[in-house]
Amino acid sequence: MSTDLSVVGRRLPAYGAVNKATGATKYSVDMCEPGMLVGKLLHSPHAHANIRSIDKSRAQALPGVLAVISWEDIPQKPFNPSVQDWGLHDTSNEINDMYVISEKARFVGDVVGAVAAVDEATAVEALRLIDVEYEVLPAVFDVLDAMRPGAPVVHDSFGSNVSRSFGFAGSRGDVERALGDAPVVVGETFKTSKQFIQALEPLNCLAEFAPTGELTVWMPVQRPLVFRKKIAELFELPEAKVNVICEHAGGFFGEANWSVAPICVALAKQAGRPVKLEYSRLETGMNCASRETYVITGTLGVSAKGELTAVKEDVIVDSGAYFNRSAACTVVHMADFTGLYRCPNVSAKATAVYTNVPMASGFRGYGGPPAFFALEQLMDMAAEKLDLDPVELRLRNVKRLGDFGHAFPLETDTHAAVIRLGAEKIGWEEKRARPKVDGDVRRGVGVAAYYDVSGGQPFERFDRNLEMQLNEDGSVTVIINHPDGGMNLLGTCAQLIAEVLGIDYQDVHFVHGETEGKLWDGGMAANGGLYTVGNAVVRAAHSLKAKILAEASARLGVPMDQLALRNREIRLKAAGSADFVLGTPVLSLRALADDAIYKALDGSRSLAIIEAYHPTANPNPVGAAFADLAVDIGTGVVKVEKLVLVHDIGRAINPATVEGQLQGGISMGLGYGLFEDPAIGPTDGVMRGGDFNTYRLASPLDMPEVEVVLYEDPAPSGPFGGKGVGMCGVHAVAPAIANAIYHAVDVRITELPMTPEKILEALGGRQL
Amino acid sequence: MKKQVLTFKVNGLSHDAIVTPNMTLSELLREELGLTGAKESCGVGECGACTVLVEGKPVLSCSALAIAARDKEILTIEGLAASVGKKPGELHPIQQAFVDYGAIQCGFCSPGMILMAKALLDENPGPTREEVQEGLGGNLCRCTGYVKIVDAVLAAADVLRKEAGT
Ligand code: FES
Ligand code: FES
Repeated sequence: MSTDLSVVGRRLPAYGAVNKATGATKYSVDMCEPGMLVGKLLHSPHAHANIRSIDKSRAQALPGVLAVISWEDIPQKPFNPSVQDWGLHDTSNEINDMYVISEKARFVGDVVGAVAAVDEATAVEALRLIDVEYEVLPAVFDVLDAMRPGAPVVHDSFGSNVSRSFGFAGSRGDVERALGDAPVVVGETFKTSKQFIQALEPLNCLAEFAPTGELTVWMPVQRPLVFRKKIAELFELPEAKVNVICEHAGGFFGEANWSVAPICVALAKQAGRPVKLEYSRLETGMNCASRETYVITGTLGVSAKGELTAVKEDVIVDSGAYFNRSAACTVVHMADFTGLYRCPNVSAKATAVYTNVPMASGFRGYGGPPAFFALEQLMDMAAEKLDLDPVELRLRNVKRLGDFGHAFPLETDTHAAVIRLGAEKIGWEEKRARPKVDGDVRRGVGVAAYYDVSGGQPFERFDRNLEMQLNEDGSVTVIINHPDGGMNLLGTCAQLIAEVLGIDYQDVHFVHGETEGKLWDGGMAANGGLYTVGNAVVRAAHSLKAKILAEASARLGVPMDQLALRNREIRLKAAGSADFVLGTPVLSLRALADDAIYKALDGSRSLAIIEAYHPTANPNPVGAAFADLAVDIGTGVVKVEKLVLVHDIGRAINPATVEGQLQGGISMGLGYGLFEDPAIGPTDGVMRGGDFNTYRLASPLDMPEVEVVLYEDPAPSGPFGGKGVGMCGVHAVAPAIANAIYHAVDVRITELPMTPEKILEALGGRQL
Repeated sequence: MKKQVLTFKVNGLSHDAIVTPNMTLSELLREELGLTGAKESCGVGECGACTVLVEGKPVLSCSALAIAARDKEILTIEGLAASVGKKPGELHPIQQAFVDYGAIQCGFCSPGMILMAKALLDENPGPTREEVQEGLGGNLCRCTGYVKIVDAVLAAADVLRKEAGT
């Protein structure tokens, strides 16, 4: 590791942490405007129903009610909360199949109307006074049932519930032949679960129109500029008249349902007053979006030497009631499933299916966690058949330098070392060999690997545009539209900029919380923050540095290459010396900036840069998780004792931030593996896992000992070698647990979450 | 609904407010007083985000009635540092540890976590790791996985013990 870095690599406090610790930070849910009304949603009690009529007159007549809306009051433009038709990404497999509010309800809880009133009690009463006449239709909740002929059709225009079938563009070789030739073939069908985002800040929106027509929207949103365009199109407003404000959000884990804002905007428009719409916990699940649920049939062919010769996947996607991000998530899913290991013959195809349950969308990890849940269990099944250690089988198949990742070649060769390090940390050999029986519990240890991307490029535009300026006090301000959702992206960028410019990281300021006045930016998703925004700010900082040195060179009459920036000073390098650090300070940054504004005889000028960055690579972060656990064979309860996760981050710009991302991901992976379940009724479609009592998030008491290890081997194209991390903690926890359960009790749990009931059922009273 | 005038103290200052019988303490603090540090995440007593201290004891303000605050002394996150004599701009040792240990990501759970940690450390100044997990067991965080939160509370416990000379 190079030692001449002074800011990069340090555990510095996260951006905004002091304000958060003191309660000073304002989230959109904390906002209020004078005269603000309370918005409330009316939900369908039926899983599938046409709205014959909707009578709003009694609600409208209630004193204190200023707006009552239904589908008739919303522009009936086909809409998809997560898809943009403007050339941002390939939309050939996407579907715009919803209206913000439609004339048909497609799941229990689908929004059929909304009100705005002076207070909550009046709003609740107004909802009660809306008379809706439903024509109740038969409904279907299970994805396989939905594919059967004669099943109730969720979207009439398709004629059946199959919305799209698509192959994986990366399919290659001859899979069937390779499977026929392979001495070892393993196959299994896996069913994954509907995990909800459930960030702690409930979904909410505050919308206000100015008398002159400008619209201001406060809400937690990861892609504010993309969203601004969407709102502008829907309500036929010029983009410049819409300002979307999100400075801090209480958790960014995926694109929740953007319909919250259109509904709120429609209410504010009708009421002529600001309206705040705050979702309940149940609504923050039901009316937002979950991870896609998949039925995955996977097959691997392996040579006698333990090398993969075929990877095949057939995946059925349960989109829920609306298509949303089914295509993008599933393409990523197939790339993860078929791409984690080297293999000459791969094929995958997907079938997306509608059901009458809440819709799915992109959630931390996209299709990765389901992919690794299936693939990594298949790998263990193959290892068993080959009589090979599961770690060894993975080492024989990991990708190497130059192999292709999702779209670009791997930039470093780290996966084998990462897996070996994890095995060492968990004590693999010794734990595989220890006695399993310990009273009522059986002990096991398991492994699972993963890989990911550092942004959506080249499939989606992850381009960044930003401004960077030297302030007259010698500090730097960056103007970029990036809401802070807790990933400390801005703090990490401050460290990168400080490193390049030789200033303190606290001298880097951000103006980032609203779309107003910002250059275009694709927003936050796909593990891409650090890599794409980081590269953009590093480039901008280098340009600014060049500008500063040129200014200094002109002032001092010294060639630029004899000047350097250190500790907020311009220093003179001794002739022939490479040592800038020890050079003599000749001018402070403050004096330079100040003079350029106030003393320059040829006109005042701010030293500033506009950076337009288009990422042209995408290094793959890789990693592995190891679980050490005990299964109680009397109760089926799994007690995870320890989780080890080793992640190749390229370079940790702020190791505490990277660890925190992974630890948080691990807690989500634990919930995904063991208990997060919306409990949607199989016969009525009612979501019973709605609040935190019934939809359980990992609590402090659920957490086992967690050891996160950062592996650093700088990626050549990354900012100081850094690459993505945010989505990665969640990927491999559930499969590592599944493999450890198998090691402990010899049963394969193929369905998520792996509850005690499922484990007991699989054990079937077996004596172990 | 019958409204009443309520007198109570928040962060050392006396307040009067007109409250309805069904108003929650969280509504009183957030909406009437503008103290939005206490967060509402579930609204029904399941997550701890709305934790404040009433007479030094942790209370879920979303599930407590405002009228129960009559004549009581309430401490919210906004007043925590000052309550131990810190000047504006300075942090309470628990807040400082949360900042230093990277225990804050989105920060939405942090005010509740920090106040719950204070209540815990007031009761038990030298907790084990397990006791901290236990004490924060009702406070949910979707971001951090709790590792750094527990680290921070243990580190703050050390600082507080040193300050107290024990
Ligand atoms: S908001 Fe009070 S406990 Fe969740
Ligand atoms: S830091 Fe986001 S919920 Fe805890």
